[in-house]
Amino acid sequence: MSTTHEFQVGEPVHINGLNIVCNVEKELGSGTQGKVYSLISPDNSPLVLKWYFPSMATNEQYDILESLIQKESPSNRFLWPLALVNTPKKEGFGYVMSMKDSRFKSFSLWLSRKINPSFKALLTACFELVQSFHLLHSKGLCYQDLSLNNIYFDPENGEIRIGDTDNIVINGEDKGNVIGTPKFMAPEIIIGKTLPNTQTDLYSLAIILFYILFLNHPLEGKIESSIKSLDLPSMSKLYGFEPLFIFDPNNDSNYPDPAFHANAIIFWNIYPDFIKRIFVRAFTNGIKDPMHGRVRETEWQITLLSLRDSIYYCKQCGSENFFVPDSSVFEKLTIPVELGGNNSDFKVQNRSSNLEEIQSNSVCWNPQCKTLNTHILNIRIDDRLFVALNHDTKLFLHHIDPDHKYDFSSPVAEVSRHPTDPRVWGLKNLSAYPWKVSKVNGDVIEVNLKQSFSLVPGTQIDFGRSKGIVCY
Amino acid sequence: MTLPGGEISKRELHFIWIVDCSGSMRDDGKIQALNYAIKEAIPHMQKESENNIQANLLISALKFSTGAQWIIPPTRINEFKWTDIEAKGETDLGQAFLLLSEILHIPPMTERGLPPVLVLLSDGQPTDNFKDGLDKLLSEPWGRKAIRVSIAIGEDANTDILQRFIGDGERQPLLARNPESLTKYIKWVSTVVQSASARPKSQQKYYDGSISNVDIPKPPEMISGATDVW
Ligand SMILES: [Zn+2]
Repeated sequence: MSTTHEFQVGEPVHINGLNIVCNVEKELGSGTQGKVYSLISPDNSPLVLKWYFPSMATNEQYDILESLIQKESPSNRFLWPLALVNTPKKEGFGYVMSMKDSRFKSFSLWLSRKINPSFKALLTACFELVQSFHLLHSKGLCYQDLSLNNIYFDPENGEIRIGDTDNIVINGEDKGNVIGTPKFMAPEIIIGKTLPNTQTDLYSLAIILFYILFLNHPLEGKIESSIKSLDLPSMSKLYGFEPLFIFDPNNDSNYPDPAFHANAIIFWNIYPDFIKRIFVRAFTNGIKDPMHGRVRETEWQITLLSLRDSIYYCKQCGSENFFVPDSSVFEKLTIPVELGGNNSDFKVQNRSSNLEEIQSNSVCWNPQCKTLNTHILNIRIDDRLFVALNHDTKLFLHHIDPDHKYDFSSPVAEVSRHPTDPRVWGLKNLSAYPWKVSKVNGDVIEVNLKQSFSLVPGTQIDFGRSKGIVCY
Repeated sequence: MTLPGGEISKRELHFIWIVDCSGSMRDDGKIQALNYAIKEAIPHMQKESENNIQANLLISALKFSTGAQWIIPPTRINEFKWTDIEAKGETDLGQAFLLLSEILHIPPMTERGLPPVLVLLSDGQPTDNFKDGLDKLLSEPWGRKAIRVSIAIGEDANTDILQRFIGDGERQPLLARNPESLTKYIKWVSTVVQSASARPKSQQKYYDGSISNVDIPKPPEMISGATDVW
């Protein structure tokens, strides 16, 4: 017995939009909207068919897919609908999309600690997420159902893929079947004030970033652990009607419960203040004022990249730590106040920003190590940003060309080691443009492609579009 | 290097099979179909719970015929094994509800849990006083909060009683007319319903709003062939 909206293994699927006939390889899974099958295609390109349950195969859904297929994907990070599929033999309709490579894993594996990504990979994934949704939103589109269930990352390098793109609609059109996923939905949706829109996407994005970086939900603190049975009414209250950030600087009644929310406390103590400040804003003003209080994607991008650039390896144990230059330098550069930078309105709970506190960041977080890392080699560029210089650090156009922000396509510089004296570290020019390097003794030398100069503190580099200085 | 911290803290989710193994389950291979269907569902259940960031799934089972007994204590999904059960005796559903109500409070339930999932599978008519048992079950806060699902095996099942177990005005019992639909329904409850309590899923814009505790997606849509009725 087979039903008319299901496919059997081996069954042919005519994909007219792509002018090919595939065969069903196997059922990959069944969700709330339909079933997903892997396909065997003529040129072996990995394709997936999603076929809707009859009740979900609405005209509206069909129109959404049709318009998405016309629009084309904002980037290769989206598993975008490629073609609609209809067949007289089956009820409803479906669509095909590319299958993600097996190197992309669910973030739930990270939250369950079944995989071991680095901070660098996690921050790269966070940045890519923010960048991808920025692209999507700037096209006037809204995702509507952003959650950890539909995003994937490569734990080796942080590259991401975004699935379930069939709910993407033009912002404000109120189309589609979904209103979101519990725990990721903006409070204003839960209390019934609004339907998904780009502002609610921004909220879900902040939830995802917090989950990835703190392994805890930003609203799950003491109030959550006091709930015995987390059912729908108690969830509506916790995430919708009375949301309270666990690190709200003005209200500690939902502070993390050490018995259940140890992760939140551990990671809060490791990250530098500037990233905590932006999360405070995302979950205080960002909740109070959905229209104007939310952290924008461009702000997340700058902040997440600053954090990634601040990673250094502990000299004793090799753990990734976060480097913060002394406060006088730091306040001058990094994130402007209007982008959630140093602003007294967004104090970080239990932390003053005096110098001693900042220096405590240089004690390795590894409880078995706790080594004090006093001198971290880094490069400060135009008082705009700084990058810790590790054995594997690479610089990109993003760092040295203000007109090419977020361009990580190919490295322009990398840290190198002197070929005969391994104690000497240098910076190698990987770009076609010569650098003018002013040594501490005043000499000026030219450093061309494949050449390196020694990373002596005080050395200044004219990259052409920007100037850097080596600090220690 | 491993990053600091540990696994995200999860809540306990009890998933309980309540299985009718009265004598009538012997007819037409119903008990064999049930044993087969649950075993089929286990790997899907494991896969579903792997992506779960919210719940530690604990599965247990009790059977009722003449009297009622626990056959599997709360077991983690990765260690869960189904032992085939045999059918004989009466249909003491009330006894099963009483036994169930004994555990649906704290302790043995945890201080930090999710609404339990209770799945009742039955083919017939209770032979004891099921009403007292049901009242006792629903008087327990965790019994009331539980997601209660029932599957009628074959046309002879008393769907009225299965409906009362679920609660009035909520979902309806699923009628499994044949082994295929039984397998499908069991897979559905053990994955979709499990995750409704455990793993947040996309919520539909136009769901009927009648379910108060947990938002459960629709049961699988199936068209049963009329010829292969038991
Ligand atoms: Zn260390």
